[in-house]
Amino acid sequence: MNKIPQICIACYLLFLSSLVNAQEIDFGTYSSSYSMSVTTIGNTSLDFGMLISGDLSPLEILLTDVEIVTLQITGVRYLDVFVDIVAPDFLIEDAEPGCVTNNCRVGFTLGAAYSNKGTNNTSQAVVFGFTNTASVQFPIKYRGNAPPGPPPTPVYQGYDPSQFNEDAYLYIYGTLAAGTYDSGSYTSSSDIFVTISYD
Amino acid sequence: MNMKQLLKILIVFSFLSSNINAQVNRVSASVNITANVEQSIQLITVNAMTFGDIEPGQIEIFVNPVIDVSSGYMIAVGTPEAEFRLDYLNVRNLTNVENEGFLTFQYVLSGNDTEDQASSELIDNDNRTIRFNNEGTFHIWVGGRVNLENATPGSYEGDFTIEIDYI
Repeated sequence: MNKIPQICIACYLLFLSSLVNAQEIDFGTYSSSYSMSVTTIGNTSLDFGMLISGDLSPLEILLTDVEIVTLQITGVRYLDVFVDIVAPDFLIEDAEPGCVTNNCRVGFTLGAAYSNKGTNNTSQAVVFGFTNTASVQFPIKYRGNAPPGPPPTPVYQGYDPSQFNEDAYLYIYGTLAAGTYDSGSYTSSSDIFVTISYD
Repeated sequence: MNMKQLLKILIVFSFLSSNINAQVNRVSASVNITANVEQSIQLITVNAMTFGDIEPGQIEIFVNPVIDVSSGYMIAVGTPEAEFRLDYLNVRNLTNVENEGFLTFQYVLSGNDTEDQASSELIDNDNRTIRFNNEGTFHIWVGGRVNLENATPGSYEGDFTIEIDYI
């Protein structure tokens, strides 16, 4: 008997076994079957308003301020989502788009939080963003200390995803550094970019 | 099953498994950040208001900020062309520093975007929204009126508070 095919199969299975994570069932493999959406509620940009040059205090938009940007995430309530946020380090004076000096660029520090208890309520929010690159994983619907729920309902004919959907909320805010700057309008060098995916 | 058939199966299986992992539902959003930087406002007092000598029997002092050289003179410095609101308490008490008693002083202000007192306009409650000129300055003259009928002899002093904020 030619043993080469058997050896190949054994090697391949050995290779596959090295990729398996013990005791973890990844329902995210099937998450492509489930929809998710993100929409902005209220403010569409993080507008700090007026920053006084030479002021000694940083200009903050706090989690509790009306200037925050709120993103509503609608997805399957018992699935976890990964949220990744990348924010720019500076706002640049519009009149000096190539600015690399501190007289025409203002340092920005991101703040981010989420709420997954079913209501758009910042007092229930969990803060996770302290730097300009932030990541977090959370279930669309808070489940406390309870274990993860059953596997997602399979997609079937007549499947109505809205029956299984819930809203979670993502809050974006931050701080502008105090300093002496040129007068004018300032805009972020790039947008704050938020990516959300199922686990 | 020969070697070639086995390799085909393995290759196809490998392709399918990697393709499943690539199908991840992903959404994204972007948020713009904006701010306006304004220069801090400075108020420079160039001249203090003076009353000069008071004649015996004189019952009122009035320093007209538009025409009197004894008016106080201040320069506000800020962001060129920026609008600001000017607020002040137009009635203040002047305290007698030697005896008891005080005088009630009613301030009157005028302003101009050029350094020309004669063409300055009175700043009242109706026109307190003002704009810096293209050099970022605004000129303010301070005058006022005080009734001396019940004044006791002595020296009086008091302060004047003016507040300027960007709109």
